[in-house]
Amino acid sequence: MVKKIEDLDFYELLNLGLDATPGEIEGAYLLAVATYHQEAMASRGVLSLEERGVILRRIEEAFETLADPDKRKTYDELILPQRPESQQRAYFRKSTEKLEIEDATEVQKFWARVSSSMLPVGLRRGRGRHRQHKNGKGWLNLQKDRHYYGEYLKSVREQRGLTLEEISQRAKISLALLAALEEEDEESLPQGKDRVRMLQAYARALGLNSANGGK
Amino acid sequence: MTEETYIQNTLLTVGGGKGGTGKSFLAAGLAIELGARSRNAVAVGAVLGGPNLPTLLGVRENGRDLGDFFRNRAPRLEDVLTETSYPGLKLIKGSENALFLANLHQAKKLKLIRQIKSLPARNVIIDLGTGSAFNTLDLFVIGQPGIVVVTPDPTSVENTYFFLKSCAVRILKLYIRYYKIPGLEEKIAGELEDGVSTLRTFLTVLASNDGATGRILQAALNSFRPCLVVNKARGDKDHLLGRSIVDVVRRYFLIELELLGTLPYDERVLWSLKKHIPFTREYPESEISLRIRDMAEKLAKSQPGDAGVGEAQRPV
Repeated sequence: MVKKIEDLDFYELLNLGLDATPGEIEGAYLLAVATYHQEAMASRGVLSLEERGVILRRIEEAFETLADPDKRKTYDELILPQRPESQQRAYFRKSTEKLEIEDATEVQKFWARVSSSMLPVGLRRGRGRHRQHKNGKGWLNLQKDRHYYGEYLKSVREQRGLTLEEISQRAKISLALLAALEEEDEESLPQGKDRVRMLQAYARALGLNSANGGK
Repeated sequence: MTEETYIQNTLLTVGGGKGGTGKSFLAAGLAIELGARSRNAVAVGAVLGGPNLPTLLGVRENGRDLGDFFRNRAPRLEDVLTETSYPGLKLIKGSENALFLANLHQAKKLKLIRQIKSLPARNVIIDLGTGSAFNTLDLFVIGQPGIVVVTPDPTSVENTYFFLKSCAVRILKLYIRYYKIPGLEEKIAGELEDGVSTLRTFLTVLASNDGATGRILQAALNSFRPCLVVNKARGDKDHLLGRSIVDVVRRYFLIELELLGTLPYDERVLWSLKKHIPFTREYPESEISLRIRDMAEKLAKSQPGDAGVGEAQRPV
Protein backbone atom coordinates (compact mmCIF):
# COMPACT_ATOMS: atom_id res chain seq x y z
CA MET A 1 0.00 0.00 0.00
CA VAL A 2 0.99 3.60 -0.37
CA LYS A 3 3.24 4.58 2.47
CA LYS A 4 3.43 8.05 3.87
CA ILE A 5 6.64 9.87 3.03
CA GLU A 6 7.56 9.75 6.71
CA ASP A 7 7.21 5.99 6.69
CA LEU A 8 9.54 5.31 3.81
CA ASP A 9 12.83 4.04 5.11
CA PHE A 10 15.93 6.05 4.25
CA TYR A 11 16.99 3.75 1.45
CA GLU A 12 13.58 3.87 -0.19
CA LEU A 13 13.50 7.62 0.21
CA LEU A 14 16.79 8.13 -1.60
CA ASN A 15 16.23 5.32 -4.10
CA LEU A 16 19.24 3.43 -2.82
CA GLY A 17 19.97 -0.24 -2.47
CA LEU A 18 20.95 -1.56 0.92
CA ASP A 19 24.49 -1.97 -0.37
CA ALA A 20 24.88 1.63 -1.49
CA THR A 21 28.39 3.03 -1.40
CA PRO A 22 29.18 6.35 0.28
CA GLY A 23 29.55 7.90 -3.14
CA GLU A 24 26.13 6.72 -4.19
CA ILE A 25 24.61 7.96 -0.96
CA GLU A 26 26.07 11.40 -1.43
CA GLY A 27 24.93 11.52 -5.05
CA ALA A 28 21.44 10.47 -4.09
CA TYR A 29 21.32 13.07 -1.35
CA LEU A 30 22.40 15.88 -3.68
CA LEU A 31 19.87 14.82 -6.28
CA ALA A 32 17.12 14.68 -3.69
CA VAL A 33 17.91 18.15 -2.42
CA ALA A 34 18.10 19.47 -5.99
CA THR A 35 14.68 17.96 -6.63
CA TYR A 36 12.85 19.19 -3.57
CA HIS A 37 14.40 22.42 -2.38
CA GLN A 38 12.31 25.57 -2.31
CA GLU A 39 13.25 26.89 -5.74
CA ALA A 40 13.52 23.58 -7.56
CA MET A 41 11.85 23.47 -10.94
CA ALA A 42 11.04 19.81 -10.69
CA SER A 43 8.85 20.17 -7.63
CA ARG A 44 7.47 23.64 -8.04
CA GLY A 45 3.74 23.78 -7.57
CA VAL A 46 3.52 20.09 -6.77
CA LEU A 47 4.04 19.98 -3.03
CA SER A 48 2.31 21.96 -0.36
CA LEU A 49 4.57 23.86 2.00
CA GLU A 50 3.97 21.22 4.60
CA GLU A 51 4.74 18.32 2.28
CA ARG A 52 7.95 20.00 1.18
CA GLY A 53 8.99 20.53 4.78
CA VAL A 54 8.32 16.88 5.56
CA ILE A 55 10.35 15.50 2.71
CA LEU A 56 13.27 17.89 3.10
CA ARG A 57 13.52 17.05 6.79
CA ARG A 58 13.42 13.38 5.99
CA ILE A 59 16.11 13.74 3.34
CA GLU A 60 18.40 15.44 5.85
CA GLU A 61 17.74 12.73 8.41
CA ALA A 62 18.44 10.08 5.83
CA PHE A 63 21.75 11.54 4.78
CA GLU A 64 22.82 12.18 8.33
CA THR A 65 22.16 8.56 9.25
CA LEU A 66 23.45 6.80 6.17
CA ALA A 67 26.58 8.90 5.77
CA ASP A 68 27.81 7.93 9.23
CA PRO A 69 28.95 4.29 9.24
CA ASP A 70 27.99 3.66 12.87
CA LYS A 71 24.59 5.25 12.63
CA ARG A 72 24.01 3.40 9.39
CA LYS A 73 24.83 0.08 10.98
CA THR A 74 22.36 0.64 13.80
CA TYR A 75 19.74 1.80 11.36
CA ASP A 76 20.24 -1.21 9.10
CA GLU A 77 19.61 -3.55 11.98
CA LEU A 78 16.37 -1.82 12.72
CA ILE A 79 14.91 -1.81 9.27
CA LEU A 80 16.28 -5.05 7.89
CA PRO A 81 13.57 -7.22 9.46
CA GLN A 82 10.91 -5.16 7.77
CA ARG A 83 12.41 -5.57 4.37
CA PRO A 84 10.92 -8.22 2.09
CA GLU A 85 14.42 -9.54 1.34
CA SER A 86 14.89 -10.65 4.89
CA GLN A 87 11.60 -12.40 5.41
CA GLN A 88 12.61 -16.00 5.74
CA ARG A 89 10.34 -18.92 6.02
CA ALA A 90 10.24 -20.53 9.43
CA TYR A 91 12.26 -23.66 9.96
CA PHE A 92 10.24 -26.72 10.62
CA ARG A 93 10.32 -27.14 14.32
CA LYS A 94 10.32 -30.55 15.86
CA SER A 95 9.89 -29.24 19.33
CA THR A 96 7.35 -26.56 20.03
CA GLU A 97 8.53 -25.95 23.55
CA LYS A 98 10.68 -22.93 23.11
CA LEU A 99 9.74 -19.89 21.13
CA GLU A 100 13.23 -18.55 20.70
CA ILE A 101 13.99 -17.48 17.15
CA GLU A 102 17.61 -18.33 16.75
CA ASP A 103 18.50 -16.28 13.76
CA ALA A 104 16.44 -13.20 14.37
CA THR A 105 17.90 -9.85 15.21
CA GLU A 106 17.63 -8.51 18.71
CA VAL A 107 14.61 -6.41 17.94
CA GLN A 108 12.74 -9.33 16.40
CA LYS A 109 13.52 -11.56 19.35
CA PHE A 110 12.40 -8.87 21.70
CA TRP A 111 8.96 -8.56 20.18
CA ALA A 112 8.67 -12.29 19.77
CA ARG A 113 9.30 -12.70 23.45
CA VAL A 114 6.83 -10.05 24.34
CA SER A 115 4.10 -11.38 22.13
CA SER A 116 4.65 -14.94 23.15
CA SER A 117 4.21 -14.12 26.77
CA MET A 118 1.54 -11.48 26.42
CA LEU A 119 -0.97 -12.39 23.81
CA PRO A 120 -3.45 -15.22 23.56
CA VAL A 121 -2.42 -17.99 21.21
CA GLY A 122 -4.58 -16.91 18.32
CA LEU A 123 -3.07 -13.47 18.01
CA ARG A 124 0.49 -14.55 17.99
CA ARG A 125 2.29 -13.90 14.72
CA GLY A 126 4.44 -16.27 12.72
CA ARG A 127 6.01 -19.11 14.54
CA GLY A 128 4.13 -20.67 17.38
CA ARG A 129 0.75 -20.19 15.82
CA HIS A 130 0.32 -23.89 15.50
CA ARG A 131 0.51 -24.32 19.25
CA GLN A 132 -2.51 -25.80 20.84
CA HIS A 133 -1.85 -24.37 24.27
CA LYS A 134 -4.54 -22.42 25.90
CA ASN A 135 -4.30 -21.04 29.38
CA GLY A 136 -3.16 -23.67 31.74
CA LYS A 137 -0.17 -25.81 32.27
CA GLY A 138 1.40 -25.21 28.88
CA TRP A 139 1.10 -21.50 29.34
CA LEU A 140 2.92 -21.66 32.62
CA ASN A 141 5.70 -23.69 31.09
CA LEU A 142 5.93 -21.07 28.45
CA GLN A 143 6.36 -18.39 31.03
CA LYS A 144 9.25 -20.25 32.51
CA ASP A 145 11.05 -20.53 29.21
CA ARG A 146 10.68 -17.01 28.05
CA HIS A 147 13.56 -14.64 28.16
CA TYR A 148 13.30 -11.41 29.91
CA TYR A 149 12.66 -8.34 27.87
CA GLY A 150 13.18 -5.85 30.65
CA GLU A 151 16.87 -6.56 30.58
CA TYR A 152 17.02 -5.94 26.87
CA LEU A 153 15.18 -2.65 27.08
CA LYS A 154 17.41 -1.54 29.91
CA SER A 155 20.54 -2.36 27.94
CA VAL A 156 19.36 -0.46 24.88
CA ARG A 157 18.42 2.47 27.07
CA GLU A 158 21.83 2.56 28.66
CA GLN A 159 23.54 2.19 25.32
CA ARG A 160 21.78 5.29 24.14
CA GLY A 161 22.67 7.12 27.29
CA LEU A 162 19.09 7.78 28.34
CA THR A 163 17.82 7.92 31.88
CA LEU A 164 14.57 6.50 33.17
CA GLU A 165 13.35 10.04 33.72
CA GLU A 166 13.84 10.92 30.09
CA ILE A 167 12.03 7.83 28.91
CA SER A 168 9.30 8.47 31.41
CA GLN A 169 8.73 11.87 29.87
CA ARG A 170 8.92 10.71 26.27
CA ALA A 171 6.78 7.63 26.64
CA LYS A 172 4.45 9.19 29.19
CA ILE A 173 4.81 6.29 31.61
CA SER A 174 5.36 6.76 35.33
CA LEU A 175 8.84 6.14 36.66
CA ALA A 176 7.60 3.40 38.94
CA LEU A 177 6.01 1.48 36.09
CA LEU A 178 9.11 1.89 33.94
CA ALA A 179 11.29 0.51 36.68
CA ALA A 180 8.88 -2.36 37.10
CA LEU A 181 9.12 -3.07 33.36
CA GLU A 182 12.85 -3.22 33.46
CA GLU A 183 12.83 -5.44 36.49
CA GLU A 184 9.91 -7.43 35.13
CA ASP A 185 8.07 -7.09 38.35
CA GLU A 186 5.00 -9.09 37.40
CA GLU A 187 2.83 -7.98 40.30
CA SER A 188 3.13 -4.26 39.62
CA LEU A 189 2.61 -4.49 35.88
CA PRO A 190 -0.71 -4.56 34.03
CA GLN A 191 -1.47 -7.60 31.94
CA GLY A 192 -2.15 -8.21 28.30
CA LYS A 193 -2.81 -5.31 25.97
CA ASP A 194 -1.92 -2.62 28.46
CA ARG A 195 1.46 -4.04 29.02
CA VAL A 196 2.10 -4.41 25.32
CA ARG A 197 1.09 -0.83 24.82
CA MET A 198 3.51 0.26 27.49
CA LEU A 199 6.28 -1.75 25.93
CA GLN A 200 5.51 -0.21 22.55
CA ALA A 201 5.65 3.27 23.99
CA TYR A 202 8.92 2.49 25.73
CA ALA A 203 10.39 1.03 22.58
CA ARG A 204 9.30 3.99 20.53
CA ALA A 205 10.79 6.36 23.06
CA LEU A 206 14.04 4.47 22.70
CA GLY A 207 13.88 4.82 18.96
CA LEU A 208 13.17 1.17 18.32
CA ASN A 209 10.51 1.05 15.66
CA SER A 210 8.04 -1.65 16.51
CA ALA A 211 9.01 -4.39 14.13
CA ASN A 212 6.67 -7.17 13.24
CA GLY A 213 5.59 -8.11 16.68
CA GLY A 214 3.70 -6.40 19.37
CA LYS A 215 0.23 -5.57 18.36
CA MET B 1 -14.52 -8.52 -42.05
CA THR B 2 -11.58 -10.36 -40.61
CA GLU B 3 -8.51 -8.40 -39.71
CA GLU B 4 -5.20 -10.16 -39.93
CA THR B 5 -3.56 -10.18 -36.57
CA TYR B 6 -0.13 -8.74 -37.01
CA ILE B 7 2.11 -8.67 -34.03
CA GLN B 8 3.29 -5.14 -33.53
CA ASN B 9 6.60 -4.87 -31.80
CA THR B 10 6.17 -1.33 -30.57
CA LEU B 11 3.29 1.10 -30.36
CA LEU B 12 4.63 4.47 -29.30
CA THR B 13 2.57 7.51 -28.52
CA VAL B 14 4.30 10.84 -28.13
CA GLY B 15 2.45 13.56 -26.25
CA GLY B 16 2.58 15.98 -23.38
CA GLY B 17 1.06 19.37 -22.79
CA LYS B 18 3.03 22.21 -24.22
CA GLY B 19 3.88 23.10 -27.81
CA GLY B 20 7.40 23.54 -29.05
CA THR B 21 8.98 20.91 -26.85
CA GLY B 22 9.98 18.76 -29.77
CA LYS B 23 7.35 16.04 -29.76
CA SER B 24 7.03 15.89 -33.51
CA PHE B 25 10.78 16.10 -33.86
CA LEU B 26 11.23 13.16 -31.53
CA ALA B 27 8.39 11.17 -33.06
CA ALA B 28 9.89 11.66 -36.51
CA GLY B 29 13.37 10.73 -35.32
CA LEU B 30 12.18 7.56 -33.62
CA ALA B 31 10.01 6.63 -36.59
CA ILE B 32 12.95 7.00 -38.97
CA GLU B 33 15.22 4.88 -36.78
CA LEU B 34 12.65 2.18 -36.19
CA GLY B 35 11.77 2.13 -39.89
CA ALA B 36 15.42 1.65 -40.76
CA ARG B 37 15.67 -1.31 -38.41
CA SER B 38 12.44 -3.13 -39.12
CA ARG B 39 11.68 -1.91 -42.63
CA ASN B 40 8.07 -1.79 -41.58
CA ALA B 41 7.15 1.22 -39.51
CA VAL B 42 4.17 3.54 -39.65
CA ALA B 43 4.12 7.05 -38.27
CA VAL B 44 0.77 8.60 -37.48
CA GLY B 45 0.40 12.32 -37.25
CA ALA B 46 -2.73 12.86 -35.25
CA VAL B 47 -2.57 16.59 -35.59
CA LEU B 48 -1.32 19.27 -37.95
CA GLY B 49 0.31 22.54 -37.17
CA GLY B 50 3.91 23.55 -36.57
CA PRO B 51 6.90 21.57 -37.82
CA ASN B 52 4.72 18.57 -38.29
CA LEU B 53 5.28 15.01 -39.27
CA PRO B 54 4.72 15.31 -43.03
CA THR B 55 7.28 18.10 -43.25
CA LEU B 56 9.76 16.30 -41.08
CA LEU B 57 9.46 13.13 -43.10
CA GLY B 58 9.62 14.74 -46.49
CA VAL B 59 6.01 14.16 -47.50
CA ARG B 60 3.97 16.48 -49.65
CA GLU B 61 0.93 18.18 -48.17
CA ASN B 62 -1.67 16.79 -50.54
CA GLY B 63 -2.75 13.22 -50.31
CA ARG B 64 -5.13 11.29 -48.14
CA ASP B 65 -5.28 11.79 -44.41
CA LEU B 66 -7.13 10.77 -41.29
CA GLY B 67 -10.00 13.03 -42.22
CA ASP B 68 -10.69 10.79 -45.18
CA PHE B 69 -10.66 7.76 -42.94
CA PHE B 70 -13.25 9.25 -40.65
CA ARG B 71 -15.47 10.59 -43.35
CA ASN B 72 -15.66 7.03 -44.59
CA ARG B 73 -13.99 7.78 -47.85
CA ALA B 74 -11.40 5.24 -46.87
CA PRO B 75 -12.64 2.14 -45.09
CA ARG B 76 -9.39 1.08 -43.46
CA LEU B 77 -6.48 2.91 -41.94
CA GLU B 78 -4.08 1.21 -44.33
CA ASP B 79 -5.83 2.91 -47.22
CA VAL B 80 -4.53 6.31 -46.17
CA LEU B 81 -0.88 5.30 -45.89
CA THR B 82 1.58 7.56 -47.68
CA GLU B 83 5.15 6.86 -48.66
CA THR B 84 7.88 8.92 -47.07
CA SER B 85 11.39 9.59 -48.29
CA TYR B 86 12.60 7.02 -45.78
CA PRO B 87 12.80 3.37 -46.64
CA GLY B 88 10.65 1.19 -44.43
CA LEU B 89 8.61 4.09 -43.10
CA LYS B 90 5.10 5.05 -44.10
CA LEU B 91 2.97 7.90 -42.84
CA ILE B 92 -0.66 8.47 -41.95
CA LYS B 93 -1.27 12.17 -42.02
CA GLY B 94 -3.42 14.03 -39.56
CA SER B 95 -6.45 15.93 -40.68
CA GLU B 96 -6.29 19.58 -41.74
CA ASN B 97 -8.89 20.30 -39.12
CA ALA B 98 -6.75 21.08 -36.10
CA LEU B 99 -9.56 20.29 -33.71
CA PHE B 100 -10.59 17.04 -35.27
CA LEU B 101 -8.99 14.93 -32.59
CA ALA B 102 -10.57 16.85 -29.77
CA ASN B 103 -14.01 16.56 -31.33
CA LEU B 104 -13.88 12.91 -32.18
CA HIS B 105 -16.89 10.93 -31.08
CA GLN B 106 -16.48 7.92 -28.83
CA ALA B 107 -17.37 5.40 -31.52
CA LYS B 108 -14.94 6.83 -34.05
CA LYS B 109 -12.22 7.08 -31.45
CA LEU B 110 -12.65 3.41 -30.58
CA LYS B 111 -12.59 2.54 -34.27
CA LEU B 112 -9.36 4.46 -34.65
CA ILE B 113 -7.79 2.73 -31.67
CA ARG B 114 -8.85 -0.70 -32.90
CA GLN B 115 -7.42 -0.11 -36.32
CA ILE B 116 -4.21 1.37 -35.01
CA LYS B 117 -3.64 -1.73 -32.96
CA SER B 118 -4.17 -3.95 -35.96
CA LEU B 119 -2.04 -2.01 -38.42
CA PRO B 120 0.19 -4.46 -40.29
CA ALA B 121 3.42 -2.86 -39.12
CA ARG B 122 6.20 -3.82 -36.77
CA ASN B 123 6.43 -0.35 -35.27
CA VAL B 124 3.77 2.30 -34.95
CA ILE B 125 4.62 5.79 -33.79
CA ILE B 126 1.84 8.28 -33.09
CA ASP B 127 2.50 11.98 -32.72
CA LEU B 128 -0.34 13.33 -30.61
CA GLY B 129 0.66 16.98 -30.64
CA THR B 130 -0.17 19.38 -27.87
CA GLY B 131 -3.04 19.47 -25.45
CA SER B 132 -4.71 17.29 -22.85
CA ALA B 133 -8.13 16.79 -24.36
CA PHE B 134 -9.78 13.54 -23.31
CA ASN B 135 -9.30 11.96 -26.69
CA THR B 136 -5.63 12.86 -26.67
CA LEU B 137 -5.25 11.25 -23.26
CA ASP B 138 -7.12 8.15 -24.37
CA LEU B 139 -4.81 7.77 -27.32
CA PHE B 140 -1.77 8.46 -25.21
CA VAL B 141 -2.44 5.66 -22.75
CA ILE B 142 -2.60 2.97 -25.43
CA GLY B 143 1.10 3.57 -25.99
CA GLN B 144 3.61 0.91 -25.07
CA PRO B 145 5.00 3.15 -23.78
CA GLY B 146 3.59 6.61 -24.08
CA ILE B 147 6.37 9.18 -24.20
CA VAL B 148 6.13 12.69 -22.79
CA VAL B 149 8.60 15.31 -23.91
CA VAL B 150 9.64 18.13 -21.59
CA THR B 151 12.02 21.04 -21.92
CA PRO B 152 13.95 22.49 -18.97
CA ASP B 153 11.71 25.44 -18.26
CA PRO B 154 9.09 25.85 -15.56
CA THR B 155 6.09 26.10 -17.87
CA SER B 156 6.97 22.94 -19.70
CA VAL B 157 7.49 21.03 -16.47
CA GLU B 158 4.19 22.30 -15.12
CA ASN B 159 2.40 21.29 -18.31
CA THR B 160 3.96 17.85 -18.23
CA TYR B 161 2.79 17.29 -14.68
CA PHE B 162 -0.67 18.46 -15.63
CA PHE B 163 -0.69 16.08 -18.58
CA LEU B 164 0.44 13.08 -16.56
CA LYS B 165 -1.93 13.86 -13.73
CA SER B 166 -4.77 14.15 -16.22
CA CYS B 167 -3.88 10.74 -17.65
CA ALA B 168 -3.85 9.22 -14.20
CA VAL B 169 -7.18 10.78 -13.25
CA ARG B 170 -8.65 9.59 -16.53
CA ILE B 171 -7.51 6.03 -15.83
CA LEU B 172 -8.80 6.18 -12.27
CA LYS B 173 -12.18 7.36 -13.46
CA LEU B 174 -12.43 4.52 -15.94
CA TYR B 175 -11.71 2.05 -13.18
CA ILE B 176 -14.19 3.71 -10.85
CA ARG B 177 -16.91 3.50 -13.45
CA TYR B 178 -16.07 -0.08 -14.28
CA TYR B 179 -16.08 -1.18 -10.65
CA LYS B 180 -19.07 1.05 -9.93
CA ILE B 181 -17.57 2.62 -6.84
CA PRO B 182 -20.09 5.17 -5.63
CA GLY B 183 -19.28 8.73 -4.79
CA LEU B 184 -15.64 8.51 -5.75
CA GLU B 185 -15.96 10.30 -9.05
CA GLU B 186 -17.22 13.45 -7.37
CA LYS B 187 -14.48 13.17 -4.80
CA ILE B 188 -11.85 12.99 -7.49
CA ALA B 189 -13.35 15.95 -9.30
CA GLY B 190 -13.32 17.95 -6.11
CA GLU B 191 -9.92 17.09 -4.73
CA LEU B 192 -7.70 16.15 -7.63
CA GLU B 193 -8.88 18.15 -10.56
CA ASP B 194 -8.85 21.39 -8.67
CA GLY B 195 -5.25 20.69 -7.82
CA VAL B 196 -5.87 20.69 -4.11
CA SER B 197 -4.08 17.54 -3.17
CA THR B 198 -1.51 15.37 -4.85
CA LEU B 199 -2.41 11.90 -6.01
CA ARG B 200 -0.32 10.48 -3.23
CA THR B 201 -2.22 12.33 -0.53
CA PHE B 202 -5.50 11.43 -2.14
CA LEU B 203 -4.70 7.73 -2.34
CA THR B 204 -3.17 7.51 1.15
CA VAL B 205 -6.29 9.03 2.67
CA LEU B 206 -8.49 6.81 0.53
CA ALA B 207 -6.52 3.69 1.40
CA SER B 208 -6.79 4.37 5.10
CA ASN B 209 -10.55 4.75 4.83
CA ASP B 210 -11.23 2.01 2.32
CA GLY B 211 -8.41 -0.41 1.69
CA ALA B 212 -10.07 -2.36 -1.09
CA THR B 213 -10.77 0.67 -3.24
CA GLY B 214 -7.29 1.95 -2.54
CA ARG B 215 -5.82 -1.29 -3.83
CA ILE B 216 -7.90 -1.25 -6.99
CA LEU B 217 -6.88 2.29 -7.81
CA GLN B 218 -3.27 1.56 -6.97
CA ALA B 219 -3.35 -1.37 -9.38
CA ALA B 220 -4.86 0.91 -12.01
CA LEU B 221 -1.95 3.29 -11.69
CA ASN B 222 0.62 0.52 -11.65
CA SER B 223 -0.33 -0.37 -15.18
CA PHE B 224 0.39 3.11 -16.49
CA ARG B 225 4.09 3.31 -17.31
CA PRO B 226 5.01 6.28 -19.48
CA CYS B 227 8.50 7.36 -20.44
CA LEU B 228 10.09 10.79 -20.29
CA VAL B 229 12.41 12.55 -22.70
CA VAL B 230 14.05 15.82 -21.73
CA ASN B 231 14.69 17.90 -24.82
CA LYS B 232 16.87 20.97 -25.42
CA ALA B 233 18.98 20.37 -22.35
CA ARG B 234 21.85 22.76 -21.70
CA GLY B 235 24.36 22.14 -18.96
CA ASP B 236 24.54 19.66 -16.11
CA LYS B 237 21.53 20.98 -14.24
CA ASP B 238 19.25 20.30 -17.17
CA HIS B 239 20.64 16.82 -17.54
CA LEU B 240 19.74 16.04 -13.95
CA LEU B 241 16.26 17.42 -14.39
CA GLY B 242 15.00 14.19 -15.93
CA ARG B 243 15.87 12.21 -12.86
CA SER B 244 14.29 14.82 -10.60
CA ILE B 245 11.07 14.77 -12.56
CA VAL B 246 10.95 10.99 -12.47
CA ASP B 247 11.34 11.07 -8.69
CA VAL B 248 8.62 13.66 -8.16
CA VAL B 249 6.21 11.84 -10.46
CA ARG B 250 6.85 8.51 -8.78
CA ARG B 251 6.51 9.89 -5.27
CA TYR B 252 3.65 12.31 -5.59
CA PHE B 253 1.72 11.16 -8.62
CA LEU B 254 2.31 7.46 -8.01
CA ILE B 255 3.06 6.99 -11.70
CA GLU B 256 5.96 4.79 -12.76
CA LEU B 257 7.68 7.23 -15.07
CA GLU B 258 10.90 6.05 -16.69
CA LEU B 259 13.57 8.35 -18.06
CA LEU B 260 14.12 7.33 -21.66
CA GLY B 261 16.83 9.89 -22.39
CA THR B 262 17.94 13.49 -22.54
CA LEU B 263 18.58 15.36 -25.79
CA PRO B 264 20.99 18.28 -25.74
CA TYR B 265 20.12 21.63 -27.24
CA ASP B 266 21.50 22.00 -30.74
CA GLU B 267 21.09 25.15 -32.86
CA ARG B 268 21.42 23.15 -36.02
CA VAL B 269 18.01 21.58 -35.43
CA LEU B 270 16.41 24.92 -36.21
CA TRP B 271 18.51 25.35 -39.35
CA SER B 272 17.44 21.95 -40.62
CA LEU B 273 13.82 22.74 -39.91
CA LYS B 274 14.05 25.95 -41.89
CA LYS B 275 15.61 24.13 -44.77
CA HIS B 276 12.99 21.39 -44.54
CA ILE B 277 15.69 18.78 -44.31
CA PRO B 278 15.33 16.25 -41.51
CA PHE B 279 18.03 16.85 -38.92
CA THR B 280 18.93 13.20 -38.40
CA ARG B 281 19.63 12.87 -42.09
CA GLU B 282 21.76 15.99 -42.27
CA TYR B 283 23.73 15.36 -39.08
CA PRO B 284 23.58 11.63 -38.50
CA GLU B 285 26.58 11.59 -36.18
CA SER B 286 25.43 14.40 -33.93
CA GLU B 287 24.78 13.76 -30.26
CA ILE B 288 21.04 14.11 -30.81
CA SER B 289 20.95 11.62 -33.64
CA LEU B 290 23.01 9.11 -31.71
CA ARG B 291 20.81 9.38 -28.66
CA ILE B 292 17.64 9.00 -30.66
CA ARG B 293 19.14 5.88 -32.16
CA ASP B 294 19.84 4.55 -28.66
CA MET B 295 16.30 5.29 -27.58
CA ALA B 296 14.87 3.53 -30.60
CA GLU B 297 16.97 0.47 -29.87
CA LYS B 298 15.93 0.44 -26.25
CA LEU B 299 12.27 0.70 -27.21
CA ALA B 300 12.49 -1.94 -29.90
CA LYS B 301 14.20 -4.43 -27.62
CA SER B 302 11.85 -4.33 -24.65
CA GLN B 303 8.62 -6.22 -24.81
CA PRO B 304 5.32 -5.15 -23.28
CA GLY B 305 5.35 -6.04 -19.64
CA ASP B 306 9.05 -5.43 -19.18
CA ALA B 307 9.95 -3.12 -16.37
CA GLY B 308 9.46 0.34 -17.67
CA VAL B 309 7.83 -0.30 -20.96
CA GLY B 310 4.28 -1.46 -20.65
CA GLU B 311 0.76 -0.77 -21.75
CA ALA B 312 -1.95 0.58 -19.57
CA GLN B 313 -4.26 -2.35 -19.05
CA ARG B 314 -7.61 -0.97 -18.41
CA PRO B 315 -11.23 -1.78 -19.06
CA VAL B 316 -12.20 0.30 -22.03
